[in-house]
Amino acid sequence: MKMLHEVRVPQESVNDQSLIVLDLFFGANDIVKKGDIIAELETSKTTLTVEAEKEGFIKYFCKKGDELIVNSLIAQISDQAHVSDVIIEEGSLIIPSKQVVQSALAYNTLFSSQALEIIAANSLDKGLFAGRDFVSSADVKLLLSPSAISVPNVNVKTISNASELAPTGNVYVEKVSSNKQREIEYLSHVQSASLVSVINTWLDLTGVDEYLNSNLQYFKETILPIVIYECGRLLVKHRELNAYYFHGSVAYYRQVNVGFAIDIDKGLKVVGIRNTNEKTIHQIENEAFRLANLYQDNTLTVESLSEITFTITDLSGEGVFSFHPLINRNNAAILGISSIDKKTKRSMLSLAFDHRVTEGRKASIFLSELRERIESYKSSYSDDRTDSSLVKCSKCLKKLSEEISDVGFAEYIDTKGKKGYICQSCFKGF
Amino acid sequence: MNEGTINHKRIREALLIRKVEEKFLELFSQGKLNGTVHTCVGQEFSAIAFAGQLKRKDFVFSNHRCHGHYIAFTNDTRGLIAELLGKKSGTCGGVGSSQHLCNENFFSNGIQGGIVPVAAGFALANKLKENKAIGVVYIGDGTLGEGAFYETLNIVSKWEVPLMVVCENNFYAQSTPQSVNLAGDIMLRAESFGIKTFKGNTWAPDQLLIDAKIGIEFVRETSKPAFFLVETYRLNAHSKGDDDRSKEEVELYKQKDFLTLFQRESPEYYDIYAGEIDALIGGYVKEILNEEELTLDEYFQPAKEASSDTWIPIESISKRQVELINNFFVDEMKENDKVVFIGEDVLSPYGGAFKVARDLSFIKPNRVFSTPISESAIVGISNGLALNGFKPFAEIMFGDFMTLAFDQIVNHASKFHHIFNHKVNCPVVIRTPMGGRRGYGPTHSQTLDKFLIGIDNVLVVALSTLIDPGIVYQNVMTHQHPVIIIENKTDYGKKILSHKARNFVFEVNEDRFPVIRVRPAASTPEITIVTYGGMADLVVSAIEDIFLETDLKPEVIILTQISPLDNSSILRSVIRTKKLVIVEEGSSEGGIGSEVISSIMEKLDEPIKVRRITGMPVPIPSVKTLENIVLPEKSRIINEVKLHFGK
Repeated sequence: MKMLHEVRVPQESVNDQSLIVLDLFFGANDIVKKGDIIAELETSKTTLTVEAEKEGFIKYFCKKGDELIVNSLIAQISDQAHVSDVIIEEGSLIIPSKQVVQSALAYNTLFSSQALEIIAANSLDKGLFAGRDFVSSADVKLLLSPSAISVPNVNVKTISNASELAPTGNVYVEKVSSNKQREIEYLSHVQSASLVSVINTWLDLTGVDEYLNSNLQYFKETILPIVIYECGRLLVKHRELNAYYFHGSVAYYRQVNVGFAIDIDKGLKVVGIRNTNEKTIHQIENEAFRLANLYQDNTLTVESLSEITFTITDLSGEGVFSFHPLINRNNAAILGISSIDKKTKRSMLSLAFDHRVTEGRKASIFLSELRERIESYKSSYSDDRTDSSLVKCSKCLKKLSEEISDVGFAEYIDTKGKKGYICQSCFKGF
Repeated sequence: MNEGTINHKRIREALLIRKVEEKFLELFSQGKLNGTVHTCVGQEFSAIAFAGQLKRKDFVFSNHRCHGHYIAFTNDTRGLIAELLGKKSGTCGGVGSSQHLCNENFFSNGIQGGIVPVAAGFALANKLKENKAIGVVYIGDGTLGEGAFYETLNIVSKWEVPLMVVCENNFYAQSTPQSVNLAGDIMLRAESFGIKTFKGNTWAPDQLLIDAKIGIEFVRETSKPAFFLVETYRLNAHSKGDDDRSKEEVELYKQKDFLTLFQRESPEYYDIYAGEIDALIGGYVKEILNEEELTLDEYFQPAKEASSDTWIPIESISKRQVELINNFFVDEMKENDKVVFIGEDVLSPYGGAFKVARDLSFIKPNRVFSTPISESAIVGISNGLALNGFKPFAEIMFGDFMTLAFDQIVNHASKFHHIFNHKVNCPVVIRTPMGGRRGYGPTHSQTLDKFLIGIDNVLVVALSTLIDPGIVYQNVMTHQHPVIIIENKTDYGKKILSHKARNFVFEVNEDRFPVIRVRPAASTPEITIVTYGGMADLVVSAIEDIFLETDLKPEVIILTQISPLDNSSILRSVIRTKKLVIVEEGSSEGGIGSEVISSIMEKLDEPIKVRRITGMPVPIPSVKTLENIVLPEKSRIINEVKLHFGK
């Protein structure tokens, strides 16, 4: 008997090291054709199907409900019927029992002596590295460095039942101060495990709807695209809301990937827009529209579902006045958008945040800056509003969309009578 | 015409041999022969008496002076001429030329003495097949200086192997007369081994033919060896111009020569025969000179196999390595009549120094041979068994003793397939334990692997405690060319993968002789450590500490096949880690590590950092502390990695 093809669990996501077998579509020794879907697997974010790459007789190495680690064997396709189960089982890579999977997942992390020195010098909690197989000094340094340029793909296995994911190369960490640590302990006594607080603000949307109608293509009834857009920029400045708490440290994301929750009869999903802070409002609108369509078609990719660094939940279509949104795993905050009151043109913005990572005053500053930015879309202003990605400082070529201070660019006329823009820093040295 | 007597047919055969030899000398002087030629002018009747009187199922092993033997046994004059002219239609495609001929049961090789044990093995195979075939091996008086000859006489006598050893005594070893280099008596040499002896000469061919026939029948009927001393004289130089013998002496023998006498006494017959033979040979030469030579593609095809990149986890086996090797032999012995186990002290209940052969001689007494201390003969006889359809497993008790068998590996087992232009395979297997750490001292502890790699057509595999030896042996069974299996004394008692280092994945690829990979379960490896054989167990047991102390995440590549080297698995790892360490127990100069590193460097565009961690270049002392320092051990490996690759 010649083995033609081995079907293995694909590595779909950095965060998923195991997948659950939802369904198997053939029986033992059935003939499958190339392209037949032979199994459906569930990741923590979505489901995916696995196809046969060759025609032949199939033998499964798992059953429904099994949890399989990445790269383990799902099935073999051979040119002849599989005769004896015993023979086939030998040398295969089945991990059908849940017990085995978990022991394979939970590493007893090994720290090199140099890594331990740095951990001690920075008084980090070793739990920060939970789930890793080996931690070298380079791994510790990477988590401590906000400026790491090349981020290696650090593979971390999920720990069963852990509420938070261990940090990988997509974040850097800073140990929380001892004052903060005491505060966390003090408050924890009352609030149990999580320390979530919610703040609200009224948003005056007078005139903003005109902007939406005249400038947006798909989203006329909701302010979601401009909220995503403005959050993306603000989160660069408010890095503590683009982070999460883990073992006595705060893990700061190196990217801003704002996610938004969708729930239209197909289950609640949070989809993300990668590098939100680098995109124009039109790009964001298009991306959000595309993701919503994928959601409808059940074809969301794992990438759009993973590594969301901040979440927005929009219930403005549901007639709610205010609500308390719940923070996602590996996030420090979530923003809720309630319905717009038709008479007053007001809507409530609610920010739930993890008090271990930040505090009410800082969160309030974020929320009020966000409110000001959104209210600035009023039609009177929006008429001559320029796409900020098109405005460049004629001296340093920085785009207006890259400007993170609130001051903005100045318009000027040079000695030849030509108009241009200049940024704050170039203006000061002009 | 009676068998065993001189007659015109035989005289004509002798004249054919002489005329062919003279033609070779003529062609040589015209520059049409590449290399050298050793002629047997004057010795022709020795060829006709033995090679000429054997049956087709019998065999002949010959030496550098083999043309007469070849013609007498095969009657293939054309194939011989084409062979020496270096043409494709030659008996061995022109590859072997004068000294290396092969045609069905005829074999010759240019190494003195080495063919004797091979012939003995071939004859032993006939005896095991019970086919009543016998063999003749021709040596010269010069060969009496070679040890392999005496090792073999001892064994063929003891084991009653049906082999006739014909010693052509022409009184000179190349240019040196016997008075200078031969002590004692030639006949007594054979008699002292209890071997039946015969004596004759080529000046009385009639009697020689009769006695040769008697000798051949003796060997066939009794299935015992015989030794036949044939006094003769070569009328030409050893090779071409290298002749310092006195003209008077040569002339004296020329006058005694039977063909000279025949020419004088029956000139009319001589002229008829000579005319016919000259026309025949002349016709062949004319044709052959226009023929094609063998191309490189026809001669040699480099191996294209690339090491597999599909990896499956290794299972632990709760059995000792030696038990698993023994299990393999027990199973094979029961099922396969072609398997022969041969070595020193291998009979049960002793079962070999390391007990690999335990119970085998109880299971199959006639397939297990306990030998005298004769490594050259052990491997030579195994070579002969392999050429004659058996699968011999030769055990060399200690790897250090491989040097004593080296000629048989390099000049015989390795060569047969190619010099005989692919006509034969020699699927011999030679197993031996290497390695120290048992306090056995300088000559029982060495790792001599580096002398065994890079031998043409010889596969070298090394067992380790990470792989089921049964898998290796199963694939050795089906290999059609020589294999050396390097085992390790200290590994014999260990179980397979008894300890898995934490957070490492132990995998094996799908090669015939699998590569083993030990990699971090999730992290990207940062340094590649290559090792094999006995060192694998030590490196793997140290791998956790290597990480803890060097701050580098190691990936260990353990080779099973060390020669020829397929470095694809190492290359795939090194491309990622850019750091390569090889740990071997032998000393570094010209070692396995040198080969690994240079072959890897050839394939990389940019230099990487490399290091060999090896045994020190001194004999291995018996002093325990010193032995542990001289051989690579854990703390030295860690320190060297730290020193050379530390961050």
